[in-house]
Amino acid sequence: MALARVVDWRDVDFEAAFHSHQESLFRYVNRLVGDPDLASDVVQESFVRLLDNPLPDNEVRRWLFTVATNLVRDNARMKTRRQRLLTERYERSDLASDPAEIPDEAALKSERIAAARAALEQLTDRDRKMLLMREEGFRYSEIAEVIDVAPGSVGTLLARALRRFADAVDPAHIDEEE
Amino acid sequence: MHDTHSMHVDDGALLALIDGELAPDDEARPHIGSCDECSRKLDELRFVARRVTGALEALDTPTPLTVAPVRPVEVTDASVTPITAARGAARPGRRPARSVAAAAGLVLVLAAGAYAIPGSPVRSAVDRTVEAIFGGDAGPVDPGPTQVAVEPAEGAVRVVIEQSDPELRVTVRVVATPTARVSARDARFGIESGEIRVSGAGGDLTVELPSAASGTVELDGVPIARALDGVVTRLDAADDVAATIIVEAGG
Repeated sequence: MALARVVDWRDVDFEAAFHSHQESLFRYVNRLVGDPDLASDVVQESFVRLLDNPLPDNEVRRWLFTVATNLVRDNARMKTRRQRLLTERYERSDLASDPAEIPDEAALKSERIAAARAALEQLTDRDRKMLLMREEGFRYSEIAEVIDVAPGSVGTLLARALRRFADAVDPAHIDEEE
Repeated sequence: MHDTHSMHVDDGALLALIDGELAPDDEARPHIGSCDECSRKLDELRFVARRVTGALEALDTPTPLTVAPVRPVEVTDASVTPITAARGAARPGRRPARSVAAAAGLVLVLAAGAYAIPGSPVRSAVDRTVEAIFGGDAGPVDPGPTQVAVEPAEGAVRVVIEQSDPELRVTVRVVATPTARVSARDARFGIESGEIRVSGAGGDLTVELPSAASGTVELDGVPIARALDGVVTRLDAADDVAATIIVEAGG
C-alpha cells in the first residue's frame, strides 16, 4: 500500500495523534493478540514508525492500524506466545470455575474472557482482523485496504464473521443489555 | 444478490445497512422496507452485532501508555529554549513548525520527557531513534528541561512536587491541551493515573494544567494552586512555602 507522502514531520502533531488513536489501536491489538504487554509493544512500535513516516491527519489512523496489523502478522513469536497465554488462561478459567476458590463475579468474568478469546480463535486470521477493525469503527473501504480484500466483499465477510463469532460464544457469557 | 421482486437481501447488504455503508439509492433499501423476512433478518443481525460487541469487551484491559514517542533533534539555536518553543506552538499566527530552532526545541522537550520516566517503554524507542540519527552517539545535545505529560483520570489531574530546592520557581498555568504537563531541569519524574510526581527540582518548574479538567498542584505536601473550569487559582498556603509560586491566571 503506497501511503508514503512527503510531509514534514515538524508539521505533524505526533502527541495529538498519539492521544487520538492510542486507545483504539491498543484495544484492537490487544483483542487480536490476547496479550496486553505485547499489544503495548506493538502500539509503541507503530507510533515510533509514524515518526519516520509523517502523514496528513486523515491518513494517520488507517496507517497505524495497517502497521500494527503487519507487525502482528510478521512477528512469528506472537503466535507462539498467544497460544501459551491462551493455554494459561484456559487453565486459569478452569480454576476460576471453582466457586469455592474465586467469587462468582470473578469466575464469570474469566469465563467471558475465555469464551470470547476462544470464539475469536475460531475465526480465520483475516476475519478476526476485519471483525476487530469494524468494532473500531472503520469504514468498509478502509478495512478492505488494510486487510487487502475486495471492497465489495467486506459486508458479506463481516456478516459471516459476526455470525461465526456469535455462534461460538456461549450466549450465557454475553452481556445483552447494551 | 437482492432482486427487489424475487430474492431476499443477503447478510452482507443487511450489515452494510446497519453500518451505514449501504448507498442511499441501493435497491436493497426498498426491499427491506417491504419484506417481512428481510426486516426480521435485519433485526436479528443487528442483535448479533450487539452481542459480538458485548462479548469482545470482555477482552479489554486498560490502555497502558500515556506518553507519546518522540523524535530527538539537536538544538541549533541556543537562544530558543525548549519551553519557549512549546509555548509558541500554541499561539495563533505563529508557526514554530516553520522555525527549525523552535521545532527542534519543542521536540527536544518531549524527548527529554520520555527519557525521564524510569522504566518507560518510550525510552527504548527513543534510544533506537537516537541511534538511527546519531549513529549511537547523541553527542553534546543539551537535553533542556524535561517535560512529562499525563492524561486526566476521571476529569482530574494532580501534580505533586517533592523535595524541592528553596530557590525553586513554580509557574502554574491552564492550557488548552488534553494533557497536564510539567517541565523542569534536573528532576526525577513519576507518572501514575492522572498524576505527575516531581522530586528534586531546582530553578524553574512549569506546570500546565488542561483547561478541560480540574487540577491541583502540591509542593512538599502543601496545596499551592488549583484549577477548575479553566481558571487557575493561587491558594493561600502558597505563601507558606519557600519556593516562588507564580500563577498565570490568563492561561
